This record gives sequence, C-alpha cells and structure tokens, in this order.
Amino acid sequence: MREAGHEATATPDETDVRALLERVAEGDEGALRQLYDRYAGAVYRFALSRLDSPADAADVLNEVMLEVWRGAARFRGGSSVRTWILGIAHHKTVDRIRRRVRDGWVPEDEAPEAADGAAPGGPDPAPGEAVIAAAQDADLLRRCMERLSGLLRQAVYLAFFEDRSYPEIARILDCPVGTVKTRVFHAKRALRECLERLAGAGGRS
Amino acid sequence: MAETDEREEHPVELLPWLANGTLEGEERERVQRHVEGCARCRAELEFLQALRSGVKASWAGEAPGELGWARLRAAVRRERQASGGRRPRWMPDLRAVAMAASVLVVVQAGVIAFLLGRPGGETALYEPLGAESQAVLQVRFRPDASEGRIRAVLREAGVEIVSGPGALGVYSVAPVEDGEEALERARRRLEAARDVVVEVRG
Repeated sequence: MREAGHEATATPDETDVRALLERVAEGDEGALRQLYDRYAGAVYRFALSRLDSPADAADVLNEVMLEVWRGAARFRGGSSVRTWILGIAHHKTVDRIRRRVRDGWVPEDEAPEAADGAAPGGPDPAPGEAVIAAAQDADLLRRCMERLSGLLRQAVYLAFFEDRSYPEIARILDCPVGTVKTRVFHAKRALRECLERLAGAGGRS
Repeated sequence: MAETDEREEHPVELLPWLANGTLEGEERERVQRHVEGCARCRAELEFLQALRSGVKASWAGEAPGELGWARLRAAVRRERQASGGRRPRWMPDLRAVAMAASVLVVVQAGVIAFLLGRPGGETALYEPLGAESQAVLQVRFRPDASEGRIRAVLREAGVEIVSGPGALGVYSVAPVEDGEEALERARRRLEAARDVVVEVRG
C-alpha cells in the first residue's frame, strides 16, 4: 500500500486545507488561524502523549504552528497536510526531549521495546473478558497509560486516538514500519499486564 | 523457528490496524480471513477494539485554544516586524509602551485611538474589525481557567481577543459591536466572570 498515494487523495477536505496552506504562504493570518483551529488539538495531544507536560506540549504547539507559518511554501504535497504538520510536531517534540536530556533530566530510553526483551516462547494467550472490560474502564486505562514510556504512549495515541495507518505513523515518526508495529505491540502488551494487575483479573482464558 | 512461524501464521502485529480500520486491500483481506478462523486472534482483536474505544473516551488534555492562538499571533507579529520586508500591521509604539511600564498597563480607550490614528505612523489595523479606532479593554485571565469557560465568557461579553499576551499576561479584547454601550456591557460581563477573569481595565 503506497501511503503517499493513499494519503494525498484530493478529498474535499484535503483540497480545503491545501488551499489554506497556500494562503498562509502568502502571509494570510486568517488562514493560519483556521489551520490552528483545525490542528491544534491533534498537535497538542501528540506532543503531550510523548512529553507528559502540558506546559511543554503548549510550547511545542506554538513552535509547530510558527514553523507552519514560516514553512508553508515548502509543503510539496507528498503527504497529507495533517501528516506534514504532525511530522513537524515530531521533530519539535524530539528536540525538547534532547533538551531535557541535556539539562540533566532522566535520559530517554530510545528503544523501550528492547527493554521488554524478546517475546517469550509462544504467543500470548487470548485475552479474557475481564481484561477486555478493564480496557474500557477510563480510570484504569488512564492509570495504565500514564505508566507507559513516552514512545509507547505516543504510538498508542496515533494508532487508537488518531486512527492513523501504520505507514502514516512511520512517516510522522520518521521510523521504519517495523518499529511502529513493534511499539504498538509492546504498548498493548504492557497495557494488558497493567490492566490485569489493577483489575485483579487473571485474564487467561 | 517455531516462534517466527507462529507470528507469521497469526498476524498479531497487524491487528491494531484492523481494529482502527486502516488496513487496506490484500493485507486487510488476509488478516480478516485469518481472524474469522482463529478464536485467539478474535479475542485479541476484541481487546484491541476495547483499548481503542477506551483510549478515545479517556484521553485527557485540552489544547490551549484562544490563548494559544493569541500567543501564536503575537509570535507571528514579532516575526513580521523582525523580517522587515513585510508591511507590519501592528503598531510598534503600543508594545513599547507596554514594555516600558513595569506595572499592569492601564490604557484608556481614547489613548489607544490616539496612538492608532497618529499621523505619520502605521495606521492600518490588523484583521480589520471594521472600526477605525478600537475601544479595547485590558484583561487578565485566571491561570486555571478552562478553555471552554474562556471561550464562553468572551462570547457572552461579545468580545474578541485582539492582542496579547503582553507584559504580565495581559490581553486586549475589543467588543465585536461598536459603541459605548457595547463596551460597557462587555466590561460588566467580563468583570462578573470571576471564575475566568482576574481583572479588567480600560
């Protein structure tokens, strides 16, 4: 599946936002406002999912939209506008992580999935009804999401909140599709273990 | 290797994208077909679907909204000034006045009009609201005010944010309607919204 071809389809929506971007390139602040209204939520949530700090996420949002303002003319149409903007958000988010490391925060584990180790022999047993129900418990789920590393939480956000395809996520995060699949796999597994623990469910069927 | 065969046989790593509806073509058919014949993957899919709806329902975190836009616009204005080549639509002197004062800027409606109408200066208004001289109020919002409440208060007061955040987090708001009455009504309503507004001047 060619992600670019699938994505760059000229739906009425996509045509609209490309027109807005052109107007931004011409210095139209009203058009920037419309793009802001459309994408601020997604950019903010994306940044927050990785950075876990509302202040930092708000800063990233500002930086991203400023970059959109400066670089609108650079958009080539190889992807959807949304993917392009989230890709900028990814770079700004990574910059901020690097700044945290440089300033002496706990260093980010760039490959948390490696820490999980190889999958144990054989696939996981089927999830039981209890853990399936626990996944829908907003309180339990929020607590478990908080415990995920930023990288894994961000992957879950893109796959399940934003409903992005895996090639698109790979594009946004500038990583191989295999990495995307692995991260979501590990995130799902970690969430399941956490939910089972918190819900007191064995989860084995 | 048995484990690899298992994972190839059961496309577990693709199930999240079957759950979110983004698999396509041959890949989707293949995975769909497998799931129809495999109880364990069906259960896995059900879990992923539950996760997905749980994530959508429980994700917290509201974007900054109006205040975020005001912040962005201020940054854009600064860029325009700095870039020099573009025609600035913002009145530099006003910012200089705000910066010079080390206390909350108290700017009367008349003073704003005077500055904006000054001959020889930049008189074009950004995002023209239709009025030649703008009556504005200076507002400070509570830091814990929610985006929804700020928006509602602005709407009820009939005002728009026209600049800010400036020194000390002060925003300028202007009534959408012209006239002294609209200005007074806006002031009253803003002052009444104690859960959102710390202070109103002007």
